[in-house]
Amino acid sequence: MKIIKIINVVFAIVLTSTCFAQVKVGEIKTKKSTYVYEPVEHGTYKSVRPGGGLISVVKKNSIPQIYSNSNTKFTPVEVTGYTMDKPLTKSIAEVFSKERLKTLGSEKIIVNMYLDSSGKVISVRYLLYPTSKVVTTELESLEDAIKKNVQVKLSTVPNGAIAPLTSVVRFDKFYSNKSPW
Amino acid sequence: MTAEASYDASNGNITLKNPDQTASSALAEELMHAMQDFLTPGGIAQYVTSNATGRANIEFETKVLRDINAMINGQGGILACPSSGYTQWLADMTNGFNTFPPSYFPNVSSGYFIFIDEFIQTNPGYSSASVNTSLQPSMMFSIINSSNCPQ
Repeated sequence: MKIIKIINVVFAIVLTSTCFAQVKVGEIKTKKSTYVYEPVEHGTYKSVRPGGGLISVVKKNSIPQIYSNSNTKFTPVEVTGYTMDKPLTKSIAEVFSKERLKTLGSEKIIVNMYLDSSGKVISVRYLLYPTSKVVTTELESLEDAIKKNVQVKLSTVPNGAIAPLTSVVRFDKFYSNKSPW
Repeated sequence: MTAEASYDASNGNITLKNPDQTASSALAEELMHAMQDFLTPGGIAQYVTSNATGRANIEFETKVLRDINAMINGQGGILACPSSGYTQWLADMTNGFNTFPPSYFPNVSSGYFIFIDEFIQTNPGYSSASVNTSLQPSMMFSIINSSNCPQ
């Protein structure tokens, strides 16, 4: 009887820590680099979402300075296509196994891709919810895969900074091969 | 004509620069302008001339609905505003990119005019467009409420 009680307590602790796992704000080092986790902050708009707003995750010092300058005017360009068919699907498949995608279920992460004038991805920012189960090494591998696979065709040759290309990664869509790109 | 597609509020025509290559999202945006024209008392021509107060509202409303749709459907693109704050606002409005906002409720209204300003500041094509603070995004809710989109 006592053993069963102990098992129940242990089970409850494990379950609680899993359900309420929170992405921690701060710096996390991987073997290759350091990732910075910080709350999304906007000068005027405050998130009203219960449980907290999005967390920004970037490789330290990887985002060009121009993107943090509030006076930047971005070159108006449109993405007209990709040099590779479904480059994000390919990138996800290189990092997340089918089993792992299944465990991530309906979780979503937002990926901001910063482009150079040729349409190549030069840096990546992730926006995660505090309850995200995606770990830093997965984000690092995904960034490498995106930089390798994603190259967009642009409507004009840009003369200046391009606003980031944003995508919502819905893991269940990739699990069922229903992602549009 | 420099844009891929355009809506002429004076005659209700949509013109495509290169129909074979026009992205469906560009056509969708012009159809939204047509809807705005239909729903706005007096039409949108009064707002879209170069110096009219409200041109920014007309453009921004279509871009917000475009961005909401793209994010909920797991697509994406170059959003109307580059800041993470704008993405946060979209997430707040859509319950984490799951549902379409059915009305001008507090989550929507608290950000709408903040991000119109950011839209003007970061998009050179709209830098001279002015904001009409009494013009609310009614087209957006009309489309959402007449659709089968999850709310």
